[in-house]
Amino acid sequence: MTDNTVLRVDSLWVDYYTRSGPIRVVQDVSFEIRRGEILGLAGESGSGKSTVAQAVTRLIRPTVGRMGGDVWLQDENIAQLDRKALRHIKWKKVSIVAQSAMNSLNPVLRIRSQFDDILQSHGQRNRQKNFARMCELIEMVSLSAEVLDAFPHQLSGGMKQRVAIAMALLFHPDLVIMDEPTTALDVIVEREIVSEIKRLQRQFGFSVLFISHDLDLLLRMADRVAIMYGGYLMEIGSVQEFAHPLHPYSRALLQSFPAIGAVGAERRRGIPGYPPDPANPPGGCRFHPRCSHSSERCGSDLPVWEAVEGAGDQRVRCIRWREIPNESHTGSD
Amino acid sequence: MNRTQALIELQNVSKRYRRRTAGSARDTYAMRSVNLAIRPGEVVALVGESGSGKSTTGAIIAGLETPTSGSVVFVGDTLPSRLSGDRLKDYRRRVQIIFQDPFSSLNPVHTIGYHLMRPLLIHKVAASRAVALQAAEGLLEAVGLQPAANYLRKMPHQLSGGQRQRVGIARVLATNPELLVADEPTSMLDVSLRLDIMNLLLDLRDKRQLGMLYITHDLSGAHYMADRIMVMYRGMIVEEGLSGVLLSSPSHPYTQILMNALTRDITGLEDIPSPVDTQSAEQGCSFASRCPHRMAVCVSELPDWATVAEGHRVNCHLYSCSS
Repeated sequence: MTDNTVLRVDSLWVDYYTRSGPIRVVQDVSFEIRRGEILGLAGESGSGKSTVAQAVTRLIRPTVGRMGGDVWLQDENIAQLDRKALRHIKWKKVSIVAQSAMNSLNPVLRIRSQFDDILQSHGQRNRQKNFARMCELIEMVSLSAEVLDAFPHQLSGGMKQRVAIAMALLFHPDLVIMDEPTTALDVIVEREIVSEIKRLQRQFGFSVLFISHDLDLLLRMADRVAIMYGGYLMEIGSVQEFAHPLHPYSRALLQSFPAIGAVGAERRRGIPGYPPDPANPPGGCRFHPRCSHSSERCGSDLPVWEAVEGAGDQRVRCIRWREIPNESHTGSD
Repeated sequence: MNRTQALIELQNVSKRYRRRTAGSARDTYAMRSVNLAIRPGEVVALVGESGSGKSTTGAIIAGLETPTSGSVVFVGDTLPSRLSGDRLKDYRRRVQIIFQDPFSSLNPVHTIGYHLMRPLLIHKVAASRAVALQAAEGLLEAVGLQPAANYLRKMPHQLSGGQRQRVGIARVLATNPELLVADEPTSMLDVSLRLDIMNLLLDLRDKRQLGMLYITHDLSGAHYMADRIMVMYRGMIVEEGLSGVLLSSPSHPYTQILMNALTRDITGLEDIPSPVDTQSAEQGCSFASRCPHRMAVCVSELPDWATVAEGHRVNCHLYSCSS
C-alpha cells in the first residue's frame, strides 16, 4: 500500500442472518480511497452500498450479520480490531454521516449538548475549549453559533445535515463516510450541501466515501466512481473514464437518465426486469438476466474483478467487456 | 394554442392552511392564485421543491382537498365548493390519482386482485365479480405485469417497488379515467425502473388520450414527460411554458437556480447562499427572500405575468418593470 492510500478494502463480504439462513449481500468487494479524494459509490436499493459503509465502520452488529475480508485504514485492519481499539478510531480517524443524518440527531437534546457528548466521551473535558471548538465547526459549515442552542426540530433539513457534517469533522478524521447525505433534501439544498462538502474537503484534505443512488450527482462531484449491483462492484474508474463506461450495467444506468436541455426529448428505454433478490440471486453475473449483451457463459461464469490495462486503475467485472463496442453514454443507443 | 376544451381548469385557486402554534394561529398559503388548465392527451408537469404546494394542487384536482378561494372547472362545469353524492362519485371515476409511495398505498392485508376489483365493482364498470376478475387481469396486462393470473393472488409484500407502482397504475385505470394526477410516481423507485414507469404512463396517454398532471421535483423527468412545464415556488406558479422552450431559456431567477443545480459542475468554490429559511412576505413575490435580483417592489407587490416568448410566460417583476 502506498502512503497515498487512506482506505484499502480487500475481498470484503457481508452476510445478514434471516429466518431461512444467512444471505450474502456483499461479495468480493475491493477498492481503495486515496488521500484527499472523493470516491462516489453508486447503486440501487438492495445493491449493498450502505452495507459496505457499515462494514467499513464495523457497524454490522454480530446479532444481525457477519463480515469478512480486510479493511485497512492506513496501517490498521478495522475488520480485526476489538471494541476498545475501535473506539479510538471512530470519529478520530473515520467518521460517518449516516443516511438521513437529520434523524440521527437526538431530538430532546440541544445541538451543543450533542457535540459535548462526543467531545467528553473522547476525553475532552474542558468546557470552554469544547465550546470554542463547536463554534468554530458550526461556522465552518456556514451556520451561525445560535444553532448550538437550538433543538433539532427547530432546524431545517439542510441545517441539520450541516450539523451532522460538522460533528463528523470534530476530530479531523482522515476519512468521512457519507451514506446518502442529501437524498432527503431538495435539489437546491442538495447542491449547497455538496458544494460545502467539496469546499471543506479541499480545505482540510480529508477523503470521502460518498454513497448515493444518484449517479448523475456523483459524476458531477466525485474524483472516482464505483458502481455496485447485486452485492458486487461492477465497475470503478475516474469520472473521466466514466464518459465511456465499460460495463453494460453502467452504460444502461447512464442511459436511464433523461437528458435535460436537449430540445425534444426522445423516448429512451429503461433497463428491463427488476433488481435481483439477494435471497435468491441469479447465477453467474448478477446482471445477466437484464443485460442486452449477455451470452450463455454469463449465466454460469462469475466474472472476475478485472483491471483494465493501460487505464490508470479502472476495473470492470464483465466477461464480455472487450467484445462490446465502445460508445459514449451521451449518445443514444 | 390548442383549442380543444380543457379537461380541468383551476381559476385563481388559493389554498390556506391554518397553523396553530401555542396560542397563536398563523395562515400558510399552500397555493396563491394558481391558474392551470389541462387538455385531453396533454401532460402538464408541475415542478417544485417540497413545500412548494405542488401536492396540494394535485389533491385539489383529484378532489381530495377543496380550494379556499377560486374555482375548479371540470369539462366546462364549475364544481361546487364541496362535491358530494353521485357527483362526487362520478368525479372520482373520471379523475384518478397515483401516489408517490407504492409501499404505503396498497393495503397489506388484501391481494392485488382485491385492489383492482374494488374500483371496478364500486363504479359499476364490471357488472359481476366474474367480469371484474377478468377485467382485473386485463388491467395487469396493460401495465406489463404478466402472467396476470399469478399476480392477482399475490399480496403487496410479495411484489417489488416497481411492481407495486404498476399495480397502483393498473388500479387507477380500472375506472377508465379521463384525467390522471401522478404525484411523484417515480421518486421512490430505483433509477433503472423509473424510465419504465414513465414510458408506461406516456403509452397510456397516447392510447387513451388521458390528460395528466405530472407532479415532480425533477426537471429532467418533467422534460421527458411533459408537453408543458409549470414551475411552482411557495404556492405561486412562477413560470410556465412549453417544455423545450422553457428549459432552453429559463427566465425566472428560481428556475435558473434550479437548472444550475442540475446541470453545472459542482466545484465547491462558489458563494453558497445562506441556508437560513426566511419566511416570505405575505404581499410580495414568494421567492423575494432568496432571490439574487431582488428589488424593493418584489417584497411589497405581487408580480404580474409577462410573456417572454410564444407559449412561455414568467411571473416576475424583472420582466414587467423593464418595459
